[in-house]
Amino acid sequence: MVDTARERGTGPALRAEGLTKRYRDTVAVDAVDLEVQQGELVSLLGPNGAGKSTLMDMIAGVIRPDGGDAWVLGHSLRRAPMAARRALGVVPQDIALYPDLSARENLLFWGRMYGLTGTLLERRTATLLEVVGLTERQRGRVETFSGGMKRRLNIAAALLHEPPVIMLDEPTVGIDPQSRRAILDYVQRLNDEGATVLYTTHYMEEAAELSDRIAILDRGRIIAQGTHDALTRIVGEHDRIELELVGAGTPEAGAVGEAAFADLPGVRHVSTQGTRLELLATDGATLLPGLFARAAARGIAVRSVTLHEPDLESVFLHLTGRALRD
Amino acid sequence: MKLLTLAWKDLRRQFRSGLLLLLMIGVPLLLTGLLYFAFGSTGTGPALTPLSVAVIDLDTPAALAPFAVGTIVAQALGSPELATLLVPATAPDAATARRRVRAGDLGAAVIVPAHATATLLSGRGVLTLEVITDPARPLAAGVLSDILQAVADGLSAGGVAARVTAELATAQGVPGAALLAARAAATVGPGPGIDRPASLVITAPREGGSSFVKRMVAEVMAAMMIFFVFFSGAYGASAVLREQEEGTLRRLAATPTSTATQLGGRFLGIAAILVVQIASLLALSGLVFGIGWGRPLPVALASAALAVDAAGFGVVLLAFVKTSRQSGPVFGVVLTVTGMVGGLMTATMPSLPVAFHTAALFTPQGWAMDLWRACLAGGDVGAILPSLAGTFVIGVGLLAVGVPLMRRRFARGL
Repeated sequence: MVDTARERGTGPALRAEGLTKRYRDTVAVDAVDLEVQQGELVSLLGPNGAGKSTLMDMIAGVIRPDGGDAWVLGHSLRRAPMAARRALGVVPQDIALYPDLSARENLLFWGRMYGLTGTLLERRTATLLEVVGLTERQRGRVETFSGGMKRRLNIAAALLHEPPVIMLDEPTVGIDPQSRRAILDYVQRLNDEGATVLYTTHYMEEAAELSDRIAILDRGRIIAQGTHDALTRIVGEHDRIELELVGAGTPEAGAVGEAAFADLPGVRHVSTQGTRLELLATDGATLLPGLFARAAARGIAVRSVTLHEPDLESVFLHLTGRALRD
Repeated sequence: MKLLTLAWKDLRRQFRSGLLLLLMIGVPLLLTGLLYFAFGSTGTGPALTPLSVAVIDLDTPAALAPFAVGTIVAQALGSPELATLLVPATAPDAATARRRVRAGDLGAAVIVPAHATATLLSGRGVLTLEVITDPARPLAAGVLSDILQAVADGLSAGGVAARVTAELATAQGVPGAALLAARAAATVGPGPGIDRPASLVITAPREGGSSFVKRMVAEVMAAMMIFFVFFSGAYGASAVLREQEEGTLRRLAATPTSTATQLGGRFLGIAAILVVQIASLLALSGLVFGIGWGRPLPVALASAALAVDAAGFGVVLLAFVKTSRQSGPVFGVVLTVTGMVGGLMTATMPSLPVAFHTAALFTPQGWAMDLWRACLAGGDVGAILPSLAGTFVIGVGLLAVGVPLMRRRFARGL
């Protein structure tokens, strides 16, 4: 079906079918199926080590899958890898630029690698330098740039050939809030202008803010996907209560905490995350007095309590029994 | 187009580093320059501090002998043309001369044995002139040997001429002809000249320097060039490791660029770096030290062979390192050891045992050194062909081993 859909406007922009990658005994990506429609912005959400980057690398053609295939605008990665790569703009998780070349030299180089030449390349380089706010520093060597400037240039290098499908692998990791905001706005703008975007993150706020749809990845498998609202409906009306305990943090203390609250009426699930206890409860606000009483009765000192409405964190907790931040 | 873009990127990155430039071009010139200027050159060519030489003449020639070996040797070494190299000195006997040379009071001594002239004129036996020098001054021994060789060649030719003439005259029954003919044959030029055989010519080196020193500087420069070109080859090959660590190798793999193009671009880049380095070293050393590298075509072929050899060795070495941090020490050790075995550190040492040369041929550097020696000797393509072919074959062989290893290791990211 997808093999013949090679023009924009027909078929999904990106499709993965049974993509699998193993490293010895570990299955990093386990038969993942994913479809991203044209013009859609889909986030892959999952904790570190969930397999997001491996999945992206397979779709980008950087690593060879052990099973399955992916299609970019109908071009099979296995049968027409060059056409598939031409249609893709890939922003890797780590900064992938030549530190001893200038911002401009880097863009010119990556543009040429996508077949751009002459005035077209010059024009797009100038435009992107302007867009990412680096025109004034275009002659500066990348090694002298701040983390945020490198991140922005890292994104620009993937966009020179104006790809219809863009994949960004955790582009906001380790940067200041201002640069992060600028990147999120730019991603949104690219999508508004018609680009299909596949965006990986382990920040649920980013996924919630940007995405048309979210696919939750855990241990190499997509465990749920849908719109933000559809996903939060999975946990129903369950609130998430986060308890910061005094003296917690050891497995023993965690076990004591879990045992203390698991049988409270309305509590659906309890898990320990470091010094925190996370509870899923049907009505968090009603539960709080009983929760404090139980803590006092068991001699558990509570440092703080936070009550969350149903969110993606709750969904992940509900589906896996673990926190997204782990 | 992409091939050139990839190569240009590598070339630009390599030559943008001041430290690398210093290692690639500055250090080889500097090391050779140290040797060059150690001989007191001020830009007019290499020169030596004059060596004091005593001739101990134990010879007792017959009264009617056409020449006396001891006198000729003393005259030759005291020749005005050699005044910048040698200063005549005296010593009463051989034992004193040996002692004074050991003590450093005397630069060298030449002992002319008893019956030297008679031995030479007889045409039988071997006339040996003993040269005493300080082992710590091999250069002095080299210079003196060069000069004495010229004297010895002349003496031999003169002796043969005198003997043949005398034999012919005697055979024809000319009374007293033997002696007269011999004298006539051995005498030449203005002035008395009686002691100087006609064929003995001593040519002082031009520009006030020694051909030995010039040759030595040229060979040291060749050795340094080979050593540092191999280093650049290894460093160039290890660029793939740095790119892997920088993440650009993965990014490159995501572009619509075939593996063949990536591989080709990388080798073109290494080749360009090496060619620029070799050309710079040849030109600058010619300019600064006055080295004549030989004929253009053999030099061009030798440069290409050296580049292939160095690139091949670098690619093979790459298989033994995991990170760019490891590459420095590993390359340093391997290239120094193979360079030493290859004779790069002993390029100018005279009379090395044959085993050294044999061992050198087990290293790519050894073949390259042979090749550049042949170029320096002014040989044409035919003359350098054996070492040229050897160097090329080794380089291509190394690439044939290294490239598949590299390709397998870096998979798509090449």
